[in-house]
Amino acid sequence: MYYFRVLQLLPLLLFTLFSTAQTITGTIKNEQSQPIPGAAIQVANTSTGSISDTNGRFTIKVPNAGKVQITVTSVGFLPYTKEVDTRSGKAITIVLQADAHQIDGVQVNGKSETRKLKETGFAVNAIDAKQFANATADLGQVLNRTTGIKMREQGGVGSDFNFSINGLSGNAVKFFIDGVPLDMMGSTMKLNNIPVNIADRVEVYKGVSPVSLGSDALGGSVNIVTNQHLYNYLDASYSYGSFNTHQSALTGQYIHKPTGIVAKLSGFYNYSDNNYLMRGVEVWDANANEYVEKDFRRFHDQYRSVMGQAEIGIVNKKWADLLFVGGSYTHFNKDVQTGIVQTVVYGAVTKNGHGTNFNVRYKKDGLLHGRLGLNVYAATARDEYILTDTTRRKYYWDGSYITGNPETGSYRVTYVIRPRVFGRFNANYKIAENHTVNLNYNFDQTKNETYNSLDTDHDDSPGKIGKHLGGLSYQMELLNKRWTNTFIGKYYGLQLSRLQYDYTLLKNILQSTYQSYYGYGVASVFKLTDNAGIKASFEHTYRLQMISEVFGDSYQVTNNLSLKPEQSDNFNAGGFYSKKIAAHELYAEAAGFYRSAKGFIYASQSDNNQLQYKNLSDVLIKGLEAEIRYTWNRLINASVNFTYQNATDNTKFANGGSSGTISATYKNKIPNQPWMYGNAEVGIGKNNLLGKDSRLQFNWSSQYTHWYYRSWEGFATQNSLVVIPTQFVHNAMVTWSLHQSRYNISAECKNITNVLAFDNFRLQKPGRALYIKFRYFLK
Amino acid sequence: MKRLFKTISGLACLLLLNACSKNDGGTTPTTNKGSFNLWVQVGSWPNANYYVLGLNNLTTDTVTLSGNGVDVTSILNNSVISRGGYYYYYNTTEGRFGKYQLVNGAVSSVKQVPFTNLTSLAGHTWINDSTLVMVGAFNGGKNVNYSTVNVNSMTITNGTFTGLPAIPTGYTTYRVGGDIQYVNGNLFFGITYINGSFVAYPGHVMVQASYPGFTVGTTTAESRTSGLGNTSGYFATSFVDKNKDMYYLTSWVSKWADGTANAPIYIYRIKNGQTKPDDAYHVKVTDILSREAASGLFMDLGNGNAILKYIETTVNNESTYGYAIINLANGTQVRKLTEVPFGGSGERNVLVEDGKAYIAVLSGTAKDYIWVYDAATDKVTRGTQIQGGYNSFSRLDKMN
Repeated sequence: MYYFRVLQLLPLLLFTLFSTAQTITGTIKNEQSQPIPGAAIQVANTSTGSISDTNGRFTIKVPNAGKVQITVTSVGFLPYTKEVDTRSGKAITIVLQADAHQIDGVQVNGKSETRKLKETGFAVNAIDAKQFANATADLGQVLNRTTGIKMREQGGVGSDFNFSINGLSGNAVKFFIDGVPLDMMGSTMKLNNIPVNIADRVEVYKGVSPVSLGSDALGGSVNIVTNQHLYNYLDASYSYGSFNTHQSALTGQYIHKPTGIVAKLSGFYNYSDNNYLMRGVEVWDANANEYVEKDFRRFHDQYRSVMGQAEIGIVNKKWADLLFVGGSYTHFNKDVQTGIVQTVVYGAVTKNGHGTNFNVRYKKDGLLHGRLGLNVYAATARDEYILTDTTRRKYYWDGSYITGNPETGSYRVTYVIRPRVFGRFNANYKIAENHTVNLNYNFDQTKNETYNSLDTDHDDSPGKIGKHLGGLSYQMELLNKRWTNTFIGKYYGLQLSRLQYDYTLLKNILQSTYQSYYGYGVASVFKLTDNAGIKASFEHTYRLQMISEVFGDSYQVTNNLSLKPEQSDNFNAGGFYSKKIAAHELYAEAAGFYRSAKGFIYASQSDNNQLQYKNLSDVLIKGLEAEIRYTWNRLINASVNFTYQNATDNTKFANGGSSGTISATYKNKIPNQPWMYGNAEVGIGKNNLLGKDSRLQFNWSSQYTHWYYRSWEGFATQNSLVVIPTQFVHNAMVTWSLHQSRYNISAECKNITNVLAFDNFRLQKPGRALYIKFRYFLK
Repeated sequence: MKRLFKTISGLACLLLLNACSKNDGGTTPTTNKGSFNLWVQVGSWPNANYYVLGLNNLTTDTVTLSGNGVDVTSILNNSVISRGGYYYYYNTTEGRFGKYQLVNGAVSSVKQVPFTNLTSLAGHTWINDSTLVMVGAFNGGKNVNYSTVNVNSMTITNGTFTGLPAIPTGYTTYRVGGDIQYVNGNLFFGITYINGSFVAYPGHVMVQASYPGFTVGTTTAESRTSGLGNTSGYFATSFVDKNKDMYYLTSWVSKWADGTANAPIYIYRIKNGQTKPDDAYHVKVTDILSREAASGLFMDLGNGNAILKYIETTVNNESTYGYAIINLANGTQVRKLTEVPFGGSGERNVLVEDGKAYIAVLSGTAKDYIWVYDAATDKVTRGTQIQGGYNSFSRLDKMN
């Protein structure tokens, strides 16, 4: 249906594609009426912008006829926002005020992008990544400090992890970078190895996602937004710390103003031995003829990851606001130290992979007399990783081994190869003042080949999955923009095909299936005042089936062509409030959430020992979360947040049944899942304490996770009931910034009290760790 | 502002209080030792947990798991070997073999030793109360290994069978049957072969090997089915009866070279004093029951009959099961136990003790029961009642 709508729009679109844009001209000056060259002028909510010349002059061609908001930023000055009527035709003069405090790059005046996002109808964690730019942190660690998020890692740098949003995790959460699926850049790109410096901000949509993020996310979406501002900059950082950990990141952009050509570059490199101390682990003592507990360092956990990305394009042309072509390469090497419990010790298993990506993106606003904006992205990618297990040994924590069986159970060099094609079309159309529609279509096709190269050089039955995701939203702003409603409709089309062994024909034949599903939702926000509001959102959403779940593996896992997607009804309601009195600034938000997820797909064993994926369990989650932030005069900042979630088994009948006995675990609390946690952070900083244009900043943060049961609560004897104990981890960091934050040096201590920390039962995480980080930032 | 500060303070205090509080799940010891153990699975993956419920008897009382099950999830699974009040468990991922007891409401490790001689436990048999023999594939299925365990000292002797039939052309690995039994100084177990696409060879070989020499003697090829019996711990598919005749039931093979569907399931016999299967004795289960056998539950009742679990219905890959009595000498059906409701089950949900079969049935109703078949009277009675709603009864064991 949405294809037809797009086709209907196309002639109109082509006819008006190059309609005349409006022009804003002006001059940027300081308070002494001197011109400011190199100031960035940005039209709000677009990528349209310009840079002032040596005389402070600028010209912007804007798509919309009428009033637009422009924001002017320049190093050493306070940001300035002004509403301009493009029809006036008059040159404007903007006077910027010097910002004596603009040292650490954190925007404090006016509402930041993150604040604006938080004040939309969506339940969203919007994190300004710049405030963590001097910390030795990856994006996962940053997000783990926010409400409703739990990132459970299995070890140190590059370890596997489970990321949950309001209690839904795994495949229920989808990750994006600038609106494109993160894994388009390869399996290297995981939240816990992307340095925070790569991002400008991170948006976490909880339960309800905007249609522009075309996804089949059941529990929410994470969108990493890179720096999209139009100014030259270079941000380079390097950190070194415990366990021989090196982390470096580079982002930069150069704009050639006469031609409008823009070159962008970003990359990171991570390396760690991850040889932290494992405390009280078992080894075999041959003399004593028994297992004994000792402390040993991890010995097979080296991790290395590299990412490089380059884009070149043009901006602010008549026919394109931007047009970029780009490519990326990612690579990782990972030693695997343990299985899912730390008593399963590996000493030789490795995982290596690399990915390539070539893409083109185009954006044009202001079509159809300023009513239509288009955004198109297309990419082709290939991801490949290899799991190697070619020793037959059983390792112990002291590094010794005895001969035995393959460590992972299979003697193999397993290749997983995934060529992929992705396309995204996004259109915004302004029906009338305060009424806009957004149309989104995503096509995402992945072929999956898996084979053991010790047996064969190809996959006999590769699978192919094609997702057609469409979304249409309508946003209305009422009551002088105090009340905003966004209505959402989504289409999920799933095309699966795979060669399957036919027991009648005794050979593989191609089987394919196409299924359609429809989702819907609404997000609403009502602003009581300019600084306070209430909001609510709802979505009926899906997580589509995977190839292996539908078609099995032609051996141990049988197909299930009637498998349904996982589905969930997600509801959020909350409010926000901010207050500024003199130098005191307070921001508070609180929300309740409800998730009714049905048909979780799990493997079920049948009588002939074969497995089949089925829709087996339902989960009901209710929870509360709140956050308060306080700043005083750019000297002190503090925040505290708290999350409580009650996740219960909502599966009424055992074993996927639809009648009969009520399941014994019906309405019981889901085990092995944190249900109460919180974070607190305090910072104190002072400018010019150690030199002119410098700032000294000290930060302390703490993460608290309440105890929880490993197994179901109600059945076990007291002596066999296993509990994951309460954990309270503290970190501290001091940063010295020089030359208006051009040079930064930080020292950081994580897990300062060296407590035993683990996200999964008895799978220890690093103890106390020290890092030092250097960062150079030129704008 | 004051109110807001109070709110902040309150939340901070709450966090601090939580930080200071402790809940380690309680420490009150609860004795959970019974004469019998029923293994109960609760919840679906990834939250499937295994609890062992101690029962004083199997014929009376009403029991519930609530607060009474020993959570064995992270230590054992239901492939354990049970003998003399102990559980023996080969943890393949951790490379250790252990002896365990359930004491004071928890699993207690008596002794664990490094062990990697088998890829996995294919079959086991007891030479006597203190000597356990285990067999299984090794070296990626290129070898068939054995291990002899002195369960008192937990010392293990390992070895590799030599003289087995070579793997045929087109096949790459051995598959080892769990139908191993020890009789008259001989070990009997089946082998077959698998190719790289996991397709099984059209047939199997019954192997006779000496004990304690582990020297392979007679090998007998059989082409009616690829299936091999399975007593890995999960199942029970072979036994030696009072006449020292060995009976064994083959199990499912879903992808075999000589068939377009699952390999058929047969019952075979090795008569006392023989070293190969009885040529005249090959009982196809569907011929005598008009139903196919379930995976691996075939137990001697001691009176010349055996109990066999069969599949009554299969809908959407979910099966219900019934139980039949088989006359061993004739290879015929005596009768089906129609008094026992069809229902779900676990792998080893039947215990035979003193001529009585105790059958734990997951009925899908609010109340489940252990049903008792008395071979002497050919009568079925209803035994211990168990609160319903669980996912599986995986095992029923006698502990002392």
